[in-house]
Amino acid sequence: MNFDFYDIFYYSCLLISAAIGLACLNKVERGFKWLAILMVLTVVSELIAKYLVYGLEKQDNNIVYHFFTPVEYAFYVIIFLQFLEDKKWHWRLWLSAIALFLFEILNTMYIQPLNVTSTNVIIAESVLLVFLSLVLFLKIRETPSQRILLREGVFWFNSAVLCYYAFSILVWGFHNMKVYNLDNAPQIIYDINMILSGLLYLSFSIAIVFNALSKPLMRNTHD
Amino acid sequence: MINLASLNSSDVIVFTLAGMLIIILLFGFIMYFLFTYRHKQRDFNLLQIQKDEIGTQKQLLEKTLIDLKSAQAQLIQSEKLASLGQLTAGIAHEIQNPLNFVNNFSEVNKELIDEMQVAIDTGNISDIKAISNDIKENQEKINQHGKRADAIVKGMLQHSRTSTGVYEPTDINALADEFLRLAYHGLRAKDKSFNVIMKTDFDKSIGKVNIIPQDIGRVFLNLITNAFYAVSSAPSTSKSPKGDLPYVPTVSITTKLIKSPLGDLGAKRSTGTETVEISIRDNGSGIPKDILDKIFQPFFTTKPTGQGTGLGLSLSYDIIKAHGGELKVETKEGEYAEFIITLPV
Amino acid sequence: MNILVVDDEKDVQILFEQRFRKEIKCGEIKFAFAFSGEEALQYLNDYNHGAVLILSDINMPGMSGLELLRHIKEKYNAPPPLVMMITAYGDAENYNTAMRLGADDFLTKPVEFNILKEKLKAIQ
Repeated sequence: MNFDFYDIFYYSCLLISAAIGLACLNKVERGFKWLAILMVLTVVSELIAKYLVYGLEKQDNNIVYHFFTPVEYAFYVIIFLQFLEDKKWHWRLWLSAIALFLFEILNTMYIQPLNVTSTNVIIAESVLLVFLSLVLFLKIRETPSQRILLREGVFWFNSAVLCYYAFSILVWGFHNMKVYNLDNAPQIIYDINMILSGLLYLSFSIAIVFNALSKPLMRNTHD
Repeated sequence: MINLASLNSSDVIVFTLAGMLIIILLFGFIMYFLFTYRHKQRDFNLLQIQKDEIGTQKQLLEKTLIDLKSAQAQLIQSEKLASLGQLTAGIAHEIQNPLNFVNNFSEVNKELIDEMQVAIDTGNISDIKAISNDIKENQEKINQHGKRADAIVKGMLQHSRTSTGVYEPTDINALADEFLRLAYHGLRAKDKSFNVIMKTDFDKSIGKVNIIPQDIGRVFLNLITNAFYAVSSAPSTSKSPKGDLPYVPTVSITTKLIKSPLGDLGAKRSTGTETVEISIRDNGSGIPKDILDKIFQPFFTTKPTGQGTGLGLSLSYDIIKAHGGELKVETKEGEYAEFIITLPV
Repeated sequence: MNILVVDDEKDVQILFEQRFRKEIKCGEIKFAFAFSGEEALQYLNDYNHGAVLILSDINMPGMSGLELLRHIKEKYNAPPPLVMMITAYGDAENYNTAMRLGADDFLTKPVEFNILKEKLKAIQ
């Protein structure tokens, strides 16, 4: 296995964050519990990916991301629904999850089969998540609370999602453009993506810690 | 590390520019968000403070309302006690008489029994019979007067009790008469020179009316007492229409049963409605026009301080209204004042 | 001795007739009864105050006993009949007014008939 600096950064961020998430599992609200689970699942998917390549000696592990992307989105849907307490978002978001799932199937069947990175689905997921985070920002603004926003877990989570997935659109869009032109995107793109992914999970862990330390901004009444 | 060979400068430039743009956009957005959020936070805090203040004000007002209500209840109770106090003198007098008779007739009977014993000794049968008849008659009188005293006490207790609020079929004429006498005696006890001609004109065809007797009794007492007060303070100011004749204070109570004609406009009643009209009229100095609409207001009184609570008419008005009736006043300054109660049967 | 009793209570007549039955039987005392001040004056007019003694209640509807007292003392004064007030209200104000108007005596109810009989004997 060859890990470069970027891999090490990413994996350690992911593992640390998942560990923090598990450690704080009982002290946080529901949304963050699901976030912690999502990070654990991400670890699992990465392990499976590594096993496929090194253990089973497959060519690539794109198949994992094919499956994982809609699943990851479903988890995001669960998390966002916890923060957006409005009933109307329920069916809308689940509809979007189903749509993404269907899009994944169609994408795999017709455009990007299992051995190719499912960038279309990733871009679609990213767009949806950017949209979701903007909606959540709106909601946060509507119900101000007494405390400093920068100490709220939701703020960190939401900002991380917004920044990372906005960049994600850029990165994979760029990749798609290059591939379309039968060219390769420079490696640095992917390296930057790795760094950003690491930062994403670190932000998630910060969000979880803040939430564990204080009373919630978004009051989840059922816990 | 960075593989410089695969770097295509235009790619990188595009990517970097796009990246920076996105960074700036995101940063700007988050800054904007934080700023407006702080604004909203301030507004929200202000609202919370206002809401809390309103909450405390509301609590304060609620407490004040409770205090006011209890003060009102106390005042009403003191008004009732005041009117009860007026009655006490009259009632004491009323009870005194029957008690006198009970005592006196018992003493007479003691003597008669002594006489009878003498007659028994002498064997005078006719005497014994006559005396025993007298004794029997006297006992009946004693019984009668005892019951009278009992009824008076019961009536007084009924009046002092806080109203049960129970509607009972009541003889309006008897009630008016009772309270007329009670008011009269009460006032006479306070003011020996008080003298008034009382005229009653009771409509015998009025059957029993469903009312709360304590409450309506209180109304009668109030209106009659007001009438007495009006005629007792009137002589200096009112002149009878015939000029030189001496002023004869008169209070008259009239009761009338009124059958309204069948088929009032719009009323879908199959039978006519009956109302009882009770009017209490005095030939005092009347009610000046400028206070006429104030007399039913609580705490309004023309008596000097300490002499009246000013609650009598307003309580009476409320009681009559609660019975579904009406209390009206007709007056002519310097001549008379008449209070008319109408009650549905 | 002619006595006029003035009281609005009708049973007073029966009471007096019972308590003085002996005296009435012997003809010692003759009673007349009036149930209001006006009736009393009427009687006095009619019988030219044959009554030597008048026993009057104070609290009566219409003319009160005190007014009757005043009338009697003003109009009938040759010789004036004795007027004794008998009343339930034994307070000082009533007493003073009665005395001021010329009452000869003041008794409170309930009437102690023994005392009354003694007073009557004293008059005779």
